[in-house]
Amino acid sequence: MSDPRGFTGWIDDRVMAIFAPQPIVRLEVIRILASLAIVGFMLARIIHADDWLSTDSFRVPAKPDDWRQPASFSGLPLGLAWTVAITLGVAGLATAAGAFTRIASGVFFVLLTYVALADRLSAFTVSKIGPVIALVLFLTPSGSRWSVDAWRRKRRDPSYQPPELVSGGCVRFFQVMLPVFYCSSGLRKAVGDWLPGRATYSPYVLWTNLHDSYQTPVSWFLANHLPAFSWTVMQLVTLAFEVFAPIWFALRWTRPYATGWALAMHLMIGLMFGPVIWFALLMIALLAGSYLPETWLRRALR
Amino acid sequence: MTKPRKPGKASLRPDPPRAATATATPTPTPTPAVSVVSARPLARTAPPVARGPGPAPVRIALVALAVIYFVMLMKHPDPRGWIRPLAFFSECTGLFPNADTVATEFRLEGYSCERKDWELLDPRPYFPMRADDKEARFQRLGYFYKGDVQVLHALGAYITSHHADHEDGVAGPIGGIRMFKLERPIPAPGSEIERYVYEPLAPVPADAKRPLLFESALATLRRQCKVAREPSSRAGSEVSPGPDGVETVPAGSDPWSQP
Repeated sequence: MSDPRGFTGWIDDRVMAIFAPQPIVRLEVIRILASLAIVGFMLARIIHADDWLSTDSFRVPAKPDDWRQPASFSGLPLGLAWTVAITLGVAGLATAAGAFTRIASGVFFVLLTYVALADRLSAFTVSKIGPVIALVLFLTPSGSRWSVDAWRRKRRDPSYQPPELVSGGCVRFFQVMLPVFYCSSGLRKAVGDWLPGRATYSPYVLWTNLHDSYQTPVSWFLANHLPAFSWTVMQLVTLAFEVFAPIWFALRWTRPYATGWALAMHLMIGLMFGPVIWFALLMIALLAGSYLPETWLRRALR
Repeated sequence: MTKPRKPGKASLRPDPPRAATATATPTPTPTPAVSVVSARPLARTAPPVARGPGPAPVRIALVALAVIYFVMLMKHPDPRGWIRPLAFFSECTGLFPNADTVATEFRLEGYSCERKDWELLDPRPYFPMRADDKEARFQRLGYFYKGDVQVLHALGAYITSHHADHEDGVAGPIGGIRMFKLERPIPAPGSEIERYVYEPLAPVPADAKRPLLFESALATLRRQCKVAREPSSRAGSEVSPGPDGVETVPAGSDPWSQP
């Protein structure tokens, strides 16, 4: 039977569906896994806080209006550099554990933002999306379940029942962010060297990135055993996946396959491009929390 | 009756709601009284919804900010003026857009004041964070600032002033640095490749190119080597930006004997 409210009613229903409450387990899985992935990425920097943030290390001279420097910060005194680095790690771990989550995620966000801007030389993709994720965790009721905060509250009030659902936007943000990110990345690749028919097209983009310090034992093994055309096939499938990611993730029947492919893609990225492993794990964390079946997530946290 | 689910097997379908499971058991014919009884637990078990902070207008504003962020991910704003830090955080989706034409790494040489020659210098003691891969700060410095004399001059001053504190492969004092990019050809697709190892002190391979990116100025080399030989002349020997990258010092030459 057709909707008596017509097209407007149909639109209303779609919008309401977007913001309908979502299982809070999705938000909590992202809180735990994404925070750990970000801390894992930062760990290599934290243990070298002197090289990273202090005046004892080489600091790039301030260059006003330079595209490479989004902001200019002087180096920190050595003790303060260590304090910032250790606080960053503790805040990230506390966010993952859900301990004083609102404060921890707020501190995590502020320090992630600072370190990303303070040292352009050590800022990568995780440095840029990490603060955004921490900010969202700060602004949402993350830590309401499967957390130290929930455990403490239950101890104070045994009748307390933690929420099952969270307002829709808290989860939808991540569910939308992923396909938008992929689509943008795919378009950048398409106008780069990935798309057949363009003057700059190269069928071996992936192959050409395997010959420096990104090389791992896995990528070295595959480079020596896969036929040459397989690199082109992987390149084209990846391009098609990324450019049309909003469609793959929007359609109910393609969504599980898109999720599976994205997880496999990031797994291979992590195994084949050494230092990129933390970015791969972060994306896997976002994918898992956003798109894996709710029952799987509940079972994992039980 | 609903079909019983196999225990322990994951399903892509969501679990049935508890109320539905309860009504699936054989029950007498419903009467109004039964409906009232079954409705109470439903109302009592309605799951609470956790909400973000602030009233509805604040949350609507947050949705608007999220949409702006998504738009910035798709269309990176021009990084100028006040928007530069914001643009920086949205400039994160350009992942491997281009094919490499050569495999590159950046290397350093120090000018040995004692041996009067350029010698390979290990940058890892000066940049210990992720020192062996492309995420090292030194490799990133080369990538971002390879044509920037001001920054590379500062690097030269930093390396020279800290040289005595590090084991970097060059014994004795140095007068300055030069930086070059090692460019190795990429093997043909499908051919056998060797395992890559980063060795900053290894000789430059025969098939590699090494375009020079920066070299400390002759005046700098003279001044620094003089300071090293005559510590008393350290006063007033502060390195000033000179015409770095312009003059070159041939291997084996004596920089302070030149006019």
